[in-house]
Amino acid sequence: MNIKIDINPLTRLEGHGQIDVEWGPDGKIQGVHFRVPEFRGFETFCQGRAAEEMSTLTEKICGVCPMAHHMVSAKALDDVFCTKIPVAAEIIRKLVYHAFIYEDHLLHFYFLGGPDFLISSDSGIANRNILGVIQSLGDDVGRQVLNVRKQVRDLVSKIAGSALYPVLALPGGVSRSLDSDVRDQARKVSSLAVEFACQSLRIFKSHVLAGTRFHRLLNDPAFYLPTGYMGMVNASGQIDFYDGLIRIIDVAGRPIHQFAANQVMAVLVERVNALTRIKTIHCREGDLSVGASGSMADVCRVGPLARLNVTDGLPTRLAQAEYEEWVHAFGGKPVHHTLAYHWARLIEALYAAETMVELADNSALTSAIVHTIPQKIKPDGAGACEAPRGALFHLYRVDEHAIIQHVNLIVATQINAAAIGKSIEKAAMAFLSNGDVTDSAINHIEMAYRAYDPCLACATH
Amino acid sequence: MMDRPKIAIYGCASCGGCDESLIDMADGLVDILHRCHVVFWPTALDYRHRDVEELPDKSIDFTFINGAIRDRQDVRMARLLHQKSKKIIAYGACAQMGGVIGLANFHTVLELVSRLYPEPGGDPDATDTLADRVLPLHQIVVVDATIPGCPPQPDRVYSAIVQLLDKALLPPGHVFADTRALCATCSRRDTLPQKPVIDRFYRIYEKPVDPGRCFLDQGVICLGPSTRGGCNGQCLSANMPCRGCMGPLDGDADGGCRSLSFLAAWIRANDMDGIEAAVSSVPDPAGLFYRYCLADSILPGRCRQENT
Repeated sequence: MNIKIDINPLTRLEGHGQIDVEWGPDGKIQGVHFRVPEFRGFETFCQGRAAEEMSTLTEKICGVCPMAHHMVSAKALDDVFCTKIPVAAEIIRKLVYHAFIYEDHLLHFYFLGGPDFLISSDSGIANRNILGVIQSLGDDVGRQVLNVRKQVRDLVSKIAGSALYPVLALPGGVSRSLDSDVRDQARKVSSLAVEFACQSLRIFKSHVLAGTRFHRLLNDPAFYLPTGYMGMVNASGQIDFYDGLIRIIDVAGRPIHQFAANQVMAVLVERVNALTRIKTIHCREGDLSVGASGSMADVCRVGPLARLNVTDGLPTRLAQAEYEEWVHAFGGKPVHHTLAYHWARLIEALYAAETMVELADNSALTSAIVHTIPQKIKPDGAGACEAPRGALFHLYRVDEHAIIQHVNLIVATQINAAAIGKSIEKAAMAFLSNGDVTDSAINHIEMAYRAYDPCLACATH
Repeated sequence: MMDRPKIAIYGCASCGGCDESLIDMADGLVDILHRCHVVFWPTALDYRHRDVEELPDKSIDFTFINGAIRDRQDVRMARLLHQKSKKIIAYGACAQMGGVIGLANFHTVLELVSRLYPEPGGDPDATDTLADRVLPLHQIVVVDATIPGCPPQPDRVYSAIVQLLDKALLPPGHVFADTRALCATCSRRDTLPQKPVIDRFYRIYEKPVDPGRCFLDQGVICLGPSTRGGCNGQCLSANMPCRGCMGPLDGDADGGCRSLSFLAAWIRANDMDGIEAAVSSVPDPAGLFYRYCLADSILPGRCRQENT
């Protein structure tokens, strides 16, 4: 007789998902399925909408990364309306965007992924959450986590209306200029952000990396997955969250593609899957063997691990030093250890904070000219950014009145979905093979997907 | 812990923004977590559906449900949580009135699914599992109170939860927000036009917007006059107009209809050509006026023929 368990719902992530594990009569695992049952239909019901509303409409795809959709949409609209945005608008956009990446990475480390490794492994289901983390790290650190996140999000709200629902970016620039009070606030918050990013890295090294349990899991074959990687780079080949070309490297780290947002569908392809509403994303040229082999041959991963694998170093001083330590710890790149996502995420948080400091000091930040009135419309537009979880693309087609005719969204968790499924399968095979379904075993399986910081609502949209 | 009030938080068809809003309460969240026993909150805690199923009926004091009712699992979970809870709070615009997800009601399920699975055989279950239409929560279970907004503002959420935990006396169906329109507290209120002044409407990218002047006085559509206040006017502070996420005022059965009729009052022209010119300058009236409230409208959606 077959035995089946389902882990439903998946927790400490955004969206709805479940994992089914099935054993055959011989006691061996027959199937591990990662299912995402939800679907809202944004690509359909955005048709007919006024193009300029897309940056505030598509951000409703995800309340955890609304800024990513907001910004990518605005960039696609800049393209549709053939506008070059003023320098100050770009600085303001980048400032809120880096602030967003920073606080979102902290959210994952302390609230979503962190409870798996910042507290002792036997603390059980009732403590495996933010309260357990605060208890484990101490009240002071706990309050700092909440306070720093709040200050960064307050800065974003001050500039963009709301961190939960930014309304700042519109075709041709941004909706408002900034005064010196906001600049002062940005400077203060950015320095605080750098300081706390460094502290978070120290916490990671002392509480997580130094512990035998995480170290063992980090190097466990169950959490090792050779794939290709994809990430945005600037003209110097270094990581960029806001703008640049998308670079793909293969499993050995060799660059095989570098392309602009409007070329994405020439390189990637969406694949429909029967068991999940996520359309997974694969490289069109599967025979290039971007990944190692088998089902991963045409799969690239995205997100912090991928971005650090893809980049030629980091542009800021402190983050560069941390990055070098990270590469050295794994004996070179590409790093295929899935749990290394967590470490990479904190290094990126530090990079984002250092970049905030630079942007807050930029003399153009308070310039009054922040919007270019669009003068013409072209039939299509494309935009891309690096969301916290990985590369994000919006592709629009419009009519002559700038009414949306067609929308295609390529979202980070779609790109990661095949690898997430494989990581879950490997963890289930490793931790459930003896048929003993314990809370700890299930938690280990969940660690396999949480490392990616998946957003399932984004992935199905 | 067992003596503390039990609360549950769940999202149906949602984006996670309502959960973020809870997390943004920061110290307030820690305070709430210390005062309550949270028995279910998938975004932050590891409890599963079966843990809810095993709870005695009416054992949860307050359940906060966000998200719209989109598929059959949403219906099942809303009913299960209603069965297990003493009070249900509709939390956020999607639970209150369908939210932007309700815009899907312009399309048939078949249209939605064929965009997802253009190839035949992609997902045979999709048309079966999706409900025919997106619905607000109150059309599935009795809602005892509502916290509006997309998403609700953290300070308002905290205040609402504290009032509930303090057993404040609240009228049935209480809405935790202002009873007046957003316009009433807007800093640009002094420049709200007092007579019809609009010859054509401008799209937000078409002209520079003066941050000190009412949007309507500049010909830019703002739904502030017909939308409930209580959002702290955050979009306005970033120099962008209201899009109605706080929902209609008390007594307005159809928010989109109210916005439309309100706006028509500012059109200056009296002749058909002038009126036509003003009306045709609104690019997507259905999507704009019903952006958050289509699923709760007296209009069921687009008139359509099935199987076409």
